[in-house]
Amino acid sequence: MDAEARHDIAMIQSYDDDEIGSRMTTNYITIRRGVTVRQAMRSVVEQAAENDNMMTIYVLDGEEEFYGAITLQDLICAREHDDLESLIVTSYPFVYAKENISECIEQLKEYSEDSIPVLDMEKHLLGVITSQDLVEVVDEEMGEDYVRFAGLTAEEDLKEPLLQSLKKRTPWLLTLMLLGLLVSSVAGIFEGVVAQLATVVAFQSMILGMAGNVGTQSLAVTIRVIADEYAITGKEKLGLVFKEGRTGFTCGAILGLMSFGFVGLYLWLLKGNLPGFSFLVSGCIGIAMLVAMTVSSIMGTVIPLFFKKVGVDPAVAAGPLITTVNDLVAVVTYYGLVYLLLIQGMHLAG
Amino acid sequence: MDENEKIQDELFDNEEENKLEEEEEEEAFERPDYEHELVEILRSDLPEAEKKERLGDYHENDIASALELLTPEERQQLYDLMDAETVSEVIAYAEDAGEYLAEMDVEQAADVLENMDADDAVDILDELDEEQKQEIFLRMDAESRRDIAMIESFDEDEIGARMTTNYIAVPRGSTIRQAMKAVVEQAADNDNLMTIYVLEKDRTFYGAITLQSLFMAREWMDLETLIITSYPFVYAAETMAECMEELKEYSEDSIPVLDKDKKLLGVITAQDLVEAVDEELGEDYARLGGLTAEEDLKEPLVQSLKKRVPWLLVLMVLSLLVSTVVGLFEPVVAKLAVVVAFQSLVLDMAGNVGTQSLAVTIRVLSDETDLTGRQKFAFMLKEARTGLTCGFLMGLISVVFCGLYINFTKDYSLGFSFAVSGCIGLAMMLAMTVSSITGTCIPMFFQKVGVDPAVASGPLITTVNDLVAVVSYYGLAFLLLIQTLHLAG
Repeated sequence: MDAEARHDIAMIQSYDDDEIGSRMTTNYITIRRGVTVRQAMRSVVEQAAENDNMMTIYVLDGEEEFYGAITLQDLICAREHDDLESLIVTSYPFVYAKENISECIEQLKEYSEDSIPVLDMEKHLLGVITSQDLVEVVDEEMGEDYVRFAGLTAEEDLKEPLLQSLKKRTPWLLTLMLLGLLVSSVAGIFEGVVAQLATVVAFQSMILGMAGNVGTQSLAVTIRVIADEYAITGKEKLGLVFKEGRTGFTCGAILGLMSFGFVGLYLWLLKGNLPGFSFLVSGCIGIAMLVAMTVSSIMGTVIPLFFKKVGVDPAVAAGPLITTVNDLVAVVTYYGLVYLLLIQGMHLAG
Repeated sequence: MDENEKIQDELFDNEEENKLEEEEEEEAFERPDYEHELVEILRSDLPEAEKKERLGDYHENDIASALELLTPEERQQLYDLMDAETVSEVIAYAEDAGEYLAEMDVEQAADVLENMDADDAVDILDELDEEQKQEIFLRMDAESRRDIAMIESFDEDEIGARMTTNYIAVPRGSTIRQAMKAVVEQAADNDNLMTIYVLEKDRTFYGAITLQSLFMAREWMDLETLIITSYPFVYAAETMAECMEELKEYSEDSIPVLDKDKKLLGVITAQDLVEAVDEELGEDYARLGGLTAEEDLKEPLVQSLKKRVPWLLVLMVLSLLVSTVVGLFEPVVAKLAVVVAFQSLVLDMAGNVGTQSLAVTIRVLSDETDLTGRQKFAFMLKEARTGLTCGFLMGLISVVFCGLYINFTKDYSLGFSFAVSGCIGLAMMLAMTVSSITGTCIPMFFQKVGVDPAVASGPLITTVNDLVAVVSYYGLAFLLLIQTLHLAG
């Protein structure tokens, strides 16, 4: 390969996969500041032979420093004696080659340009990111976010060998199991309650399940909000927590009320228990559900925000942590209530 | 050999350089604050001519961001400093475009929308209430109204709703000079210059020429030789979801959108595609989390509820079903209360594995558009195998840990403890295997019956898996511990 091509390739390859420099192309057109419209047009036509990213023409200053950009449209429509300077946008958006892709991606999407210049720290033009590059980048970034949400460390594909799959999934599963054991040990404390009132066990999965669902919803919303609004103020964060908490509370109230009614009826009519007992149990279920779902949506918001603040990627870590916290809260609330109300309060056991 | 060494050296040098740079300047990604600069310029005492000039140095998106920081009067001052096309471009970028439009008088608003790309105008008009929309619409010129009406005639999920009428077209049979002239003329209003579309006399699509080839052509050449006649295209009535993969593959600046008579209606640009891909994936993501659509920061409570409650209700009904099944095992629980503590462990692990399989399957289904039945079956086997292996590993670990745990913390014998943990391990392995199968089969089934597989949300899979896990766990406890080993009572 010729020297220039080798140099370009070496440069692009020198960047990490997650840096924007690894995605840029050296296919762009430049002109020097101070040329006339005619000279600029001629230069464009010359360079067009090898570079087809023509929509935005980059203007360089004396020392190869990035000065600004001109759209091809403006150049084509310009009259011969117009001053080129008046066409140049000097405060043009740019990214640094070493920036992390996930950090500049929102801006790149917003500017919606055919190409955005990529500069080094001394503001020299190294390459450009085209909108076609951006389609690929967005696709990949979001694909990765998607699978991370499910607890995978990277995207898998159709032909992934078993060993690879295992490497991607087991680390997480191990962590989850440890957390699960933690929850189980807490649940184990209530063995006495369960032994006396086996009926209540049946609804444990419902409470934990619903709390988990609501927490997952809040988590999904929060992660997308963090990703889309790249500069979110402390006030907005508090607002989000409050909004999610309020939504979780309302959902919890609706569903708690419904479970109170339906489970109560179920226990009474279909299972042949006394109405008082049935509705006390379903009351415990309803309240536990309300509490668990409210706490869950708050956790589903607070935990990813916290992770983001300390620099950990919330998409992976948050889910299981939230589930564990929810399970703990739900289990303690539910069995605790059953213990207090039914066993202690009403001496309903035995 | 020499060349390879050279490349290696260059690579190595560059990496070294980058490492040094990294160490020196960890967070020095400074970017000028264009928005505030603009606000300052506007509020300064500079003469108007100079303000105009300075404005010309900024990108329209930054000017749009600056609009948020100004008062309505200041915004109008800003518009007066720019020409009509620029104002349109700026408004097109603005987030609260509808608001800004409502601030203007109707004539001005109509002018702004006229100069904009028709698809952007459509989006902004949608933000206004019916009355305002009609008022402004009626004041626009015929061509703009026609373009807008055409785009609006398509459903939201059809390509026609996302295309733009901003393109350059020349008739077949033009000379190179005529074509160039047409480009320069149309360039004033249409900035998608890279691909020039060639039409027959009856306006049917004939082919495309790249601007690059036109630039490089000599005057005496025949235009026909530059035209790519087998250029890719899409039909306006096709859905975005159907064409998205193809559009991504072609990786062009724009792809023509035709009606069923092959007449050119508009184009889809790479920027449109970025937005479409972003939205599609954003929705999938929300659905994985159990939401019916994406929400944002300022969502009002009622909207949130509408998006979440339907799903939650369905899930609750399913959960009740699970609970009734667990209720069947009440006698088991009454005799062996200790098994209850580990119920959540088995359910959670099954759920996690199921969600992993689900996520992988949904991504595979959306990336590979033509999977044969055989490939799908093979994929399911692969997932099942992964689930089984994970289940085996985790099951083994839980047998050991839970057994020890029960023995130490409760006063049960070693034999009893490990019998119980054996149940846990077996149930976990079974549940995790079945879980990966459901996580794969359910989205595949949805796709087969014509429902978007992403609807098979995480919570749905978890609830289904709960059922399997619960039956496996208590069922095994019943069979092994009570019946076989008579360990209860």
